[in-house]
Amino acid sequence: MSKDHKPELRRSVTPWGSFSWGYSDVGADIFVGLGLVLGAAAGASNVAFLFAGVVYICIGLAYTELAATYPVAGGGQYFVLRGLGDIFGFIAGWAVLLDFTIDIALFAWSCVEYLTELIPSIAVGVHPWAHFGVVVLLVIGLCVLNIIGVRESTALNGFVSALDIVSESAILTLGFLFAFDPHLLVHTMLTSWPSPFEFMKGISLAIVSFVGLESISQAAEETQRPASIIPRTSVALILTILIFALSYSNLALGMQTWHPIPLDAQGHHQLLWQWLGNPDNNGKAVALIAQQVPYWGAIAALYVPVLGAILLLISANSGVFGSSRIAYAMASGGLLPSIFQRVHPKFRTPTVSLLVFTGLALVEVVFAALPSLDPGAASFYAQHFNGEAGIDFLGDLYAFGAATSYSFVFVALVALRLFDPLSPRKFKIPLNIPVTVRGERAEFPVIAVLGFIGIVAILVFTMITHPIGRVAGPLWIVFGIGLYFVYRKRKGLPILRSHKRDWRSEQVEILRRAGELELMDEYVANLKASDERRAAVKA
Amino acid sequence: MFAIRIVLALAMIVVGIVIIVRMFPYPIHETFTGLVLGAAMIALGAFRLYQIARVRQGQ
Repeated sequence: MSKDHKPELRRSVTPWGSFSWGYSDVGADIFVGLGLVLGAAAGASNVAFLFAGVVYICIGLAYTELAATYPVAGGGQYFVLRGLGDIFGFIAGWAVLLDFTIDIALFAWSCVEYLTELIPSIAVGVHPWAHFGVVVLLVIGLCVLNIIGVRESTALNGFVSALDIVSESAILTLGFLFAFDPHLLVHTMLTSWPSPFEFMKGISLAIVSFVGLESISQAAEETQRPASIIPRTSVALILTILIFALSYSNLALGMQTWHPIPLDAQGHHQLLWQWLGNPDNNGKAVALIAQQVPYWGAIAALYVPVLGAILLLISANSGVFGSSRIAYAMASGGLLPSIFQRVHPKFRTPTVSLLVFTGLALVEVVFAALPSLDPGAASFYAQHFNGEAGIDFLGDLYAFGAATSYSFVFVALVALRLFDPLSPRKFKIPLNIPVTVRGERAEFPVIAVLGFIGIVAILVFTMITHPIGRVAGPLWIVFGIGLYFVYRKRKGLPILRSHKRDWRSEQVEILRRAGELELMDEYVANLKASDERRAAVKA
Repeated sequence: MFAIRIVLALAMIVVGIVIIVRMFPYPIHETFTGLVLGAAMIALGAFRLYQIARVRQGQ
């Protein structure tokens, strides 16, 4: 074990802090996902959310187990690196990087959509250049804040999360108690059931509403007693997000509206879900549904757009912060060029990573905004990309990145269970089959396999239904692998094999730094017993 | 603060029960998502009450 004194992150994140870190990221997703899914899956939106929600529970449980067992900042990329080796760790990290850059663009875009409820002049349909300009300014502003080292505090996350949970609970409670009509829900589902293609598209977009649980594992290195706290906060977060997603989708399909719904562009009457899912409104669906809730709706109309915009901005900021830190971590692990480790001499922040990945997010914003800015681009998009633009364009890529990285995390979980059975696991996914691997007793996680099948299905749905995702997503991965090969060859590092690491010493160090001394002792005792067994067999 | 948390957890359970009761008369394949929602609300409410009870015991 190295005796060098390494800088350590301060462990100041409490149980509520850990919950709110995750909530401020994943809680914002429904503000974007609801309208997108309603627009695609129509009367089956609630079923689409349920399908994605079940997969999300598996993802959540996998992340909970891995983050509690390996409490380091790095999240999915670290788990895959450790479980499957360098090349797969790189691919998973590269896919997460794509997701984080889209996270910046998508949430900044959606933040402005919510603000248009209060400032209509910046709506895409009114002044597209003003909308584009505000989104670009927000992204640049977040980049500058991160370069000078200002990040949202745990206290701010906690405050906004608490306010949002109380607000959403009030909206949903009043909606279900006074305006929800199960008969209308059944009627809408029967009369507006989508085609299989639309349903698959809806499911692939519904996963957008559940991306971000990664934040809890990202903050694991700063969480007090992570092995104990992370499972508690993760379970609460998983259930909370699932409830909000199912509640909004069921309400959107089965709620009697408090105010009349405006006519559509052709002057026809439309139902609540049609109004929320149309391209003019799908970026601010939660604010619009809140207005329709009895009694509270008039007040909600004033503050929900602001609350949504703040939550979305925090989420966009977590994309700026997360992408730069993952790139930094990948560079430290020999997966990316060391230029991504370069820090600002004064502010000590990874400036190159911040500029590169925020710049990439700006490019994505430009591609998403082009059809609204230029009629020629609009006709090109209509011809080649089914006319997808704005948040449809960004959501498309977001689904690809999330599904790819989660697929690897499930495989990594299985590999780590089988090949690292000695690491103490304070939280274990239920439903396991006992097996013996290399003379050690291990447990094969059945739920990880089910989750893997589910997320691969979502990845396939994404490839089938998203014209941009199926081209740009794989191209991003291929480009990354090319970059990885060139870099590793130049550095004289193994290209397809992994760089040798002493995982045993690293695990002891991880548990020591986490303050999980009982687990560290248990791990050391497990190693000793295992070594003695092997020595006895050899003798 | 505890009182507010307990009220929120209880409210969650009550709304979950209301949703299940209102969905119950309809065929299960049409209201399955609602039943899952109600069950998830009851589970979360109960989980929160359990956590609150543990914290209070600790104090």
